[in-house]
Amino acid sequence: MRWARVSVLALFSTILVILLASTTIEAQGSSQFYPCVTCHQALNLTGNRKIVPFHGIDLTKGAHRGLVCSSCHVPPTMQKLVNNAEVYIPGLHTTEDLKKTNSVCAVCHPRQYLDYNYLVHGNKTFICPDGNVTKVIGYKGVGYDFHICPEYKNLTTVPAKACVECHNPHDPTMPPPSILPEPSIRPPPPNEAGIAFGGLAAIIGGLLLVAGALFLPLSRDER
Amino acid sequence: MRSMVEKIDQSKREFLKAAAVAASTSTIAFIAVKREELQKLLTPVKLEDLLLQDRETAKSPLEKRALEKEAEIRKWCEAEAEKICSSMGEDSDACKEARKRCSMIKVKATEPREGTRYAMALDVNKCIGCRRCAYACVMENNQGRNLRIEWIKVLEMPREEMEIIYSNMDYKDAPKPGMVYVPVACMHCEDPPCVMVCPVRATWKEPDGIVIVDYDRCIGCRYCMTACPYGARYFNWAKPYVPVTEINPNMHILGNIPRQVHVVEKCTWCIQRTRDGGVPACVEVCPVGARVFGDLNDPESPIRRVIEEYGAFVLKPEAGTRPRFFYFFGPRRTPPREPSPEETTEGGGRG
Repeated sequence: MRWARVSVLALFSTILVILLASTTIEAQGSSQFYPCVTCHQALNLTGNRKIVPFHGIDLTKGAHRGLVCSSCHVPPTMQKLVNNAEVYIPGLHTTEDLKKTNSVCAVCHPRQYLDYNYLVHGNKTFICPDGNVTKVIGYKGVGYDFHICPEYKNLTTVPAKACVECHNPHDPTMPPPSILPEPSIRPPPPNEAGIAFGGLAAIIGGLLLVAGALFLPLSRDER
Repeated sequence: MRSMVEKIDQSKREFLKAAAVAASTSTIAFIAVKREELQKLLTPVKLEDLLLQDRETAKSPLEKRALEKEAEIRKWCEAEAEKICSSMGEDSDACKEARKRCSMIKVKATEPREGTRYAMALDVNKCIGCRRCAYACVMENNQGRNLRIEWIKVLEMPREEMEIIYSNMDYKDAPKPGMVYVPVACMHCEDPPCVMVCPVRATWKEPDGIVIVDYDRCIGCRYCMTACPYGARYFNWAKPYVPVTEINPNMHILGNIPRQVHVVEKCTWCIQRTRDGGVPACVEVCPVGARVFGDLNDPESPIRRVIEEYGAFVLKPEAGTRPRFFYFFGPRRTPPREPSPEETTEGGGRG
């Protein structure tokens, strides 16, 4: 009995320790493990590899399978990128920062980069001064992002996302998102019973008018 | 002479007496009569009305109508919000959201910009048929949730032969290899047949190329629906129901104001966004960026880039309507993806 209690206590304590450790690691995520130089300075990398298990990168498959690390990253620190860019991580950094890495993609995909700048390729959005975006679950349970602006004037259209937000640079093929339900059958037009009654009303009204035209002059003559 | 002066004095005295009596009675009456009773007789002047009049004098007829409409919609919205609040409680999220949205409602009457000619293009190679554009359109344009009207219809067609007779609208799985997806909405034609047939001029083409419907003028004869070769117009058979918790506060008098019953409605290229420099909701929501919107007269615009770089085609060119909605086959994946073994067994890869 006592042993059981002790083992339960031990289990709880280990879970607590693991939870605490995970939170601290997450907290350290941006501050301690970043910048990359903390590890990469000592490693003295050449950038001729294709598989990096530590980062979960495998360049032997996917659309970028022809590349090696140094095709985009500048060795030995790997924090600098080709075309004078720097490493920014999706999810950790803002879209504005991530857009600075677009110039790396432009090295091999100049046509798409031009399209992107012309707002042809990729998502577009608009921004208004002092505006924000709120999500609402609406028609058939599908979410929609509403733009809330103090004045819906002087809007400017900009690219909504950086390249790396849709295309993972280490595996750029984007899987298609889920599709939404098919259009519903429209409700039938209301039945025409109301219109039939309308006809009846018109007939009665017409009869009343005729009666009025016949009888009213007579009454005036009497007076 | 003296008698005459006396007479005058007497009449003056009598007049003064009468005046004094009248003044005292009116004072007593004024004090005695209730304020509410008095308000029934005399119409009190409201400050808001005066200010509204002042504002109205400086505006165009359309802007005046927009102001009236704004007051009307806000009144309706507040009544609906009150219903929600009384049934769900003041502290509920729905109540707060409804109140917030009612206070944010703005009906604009933005005029077309000088020298603009809007056009839209869609990359048939990119579109995956996910129908996000159709759903975003419903939300953005305050469409009735009870009528199941969706201005955008996505057609699935075989890539080899893009024919309308082979198209399917009710597909449940996408994207399929060997298929293309063609979303169809109003084409905003250069020679719109719907405008030609309207007997009351309730629909017309604006100088910037947007074909619009004036809901206050529409008599619901549905000639335009018959004339449209693309089936882009829809008729409100019942009163459209829009929940106020989901209402879009950004409205245009000729665009997405909540419609009345028995009027025809259609795509307006989100006039409430594009006239002020934004992009339509379908362009914004597209997850693959297949849609392109811009000004044909601007050499730097995305639409010019599409036509110059990729070339474009339109639907039903033989109808002679000269649509301003273009379709194009954009660049393929770079580098071309080799089909993986499991895809080859299914019968060819996509892209």
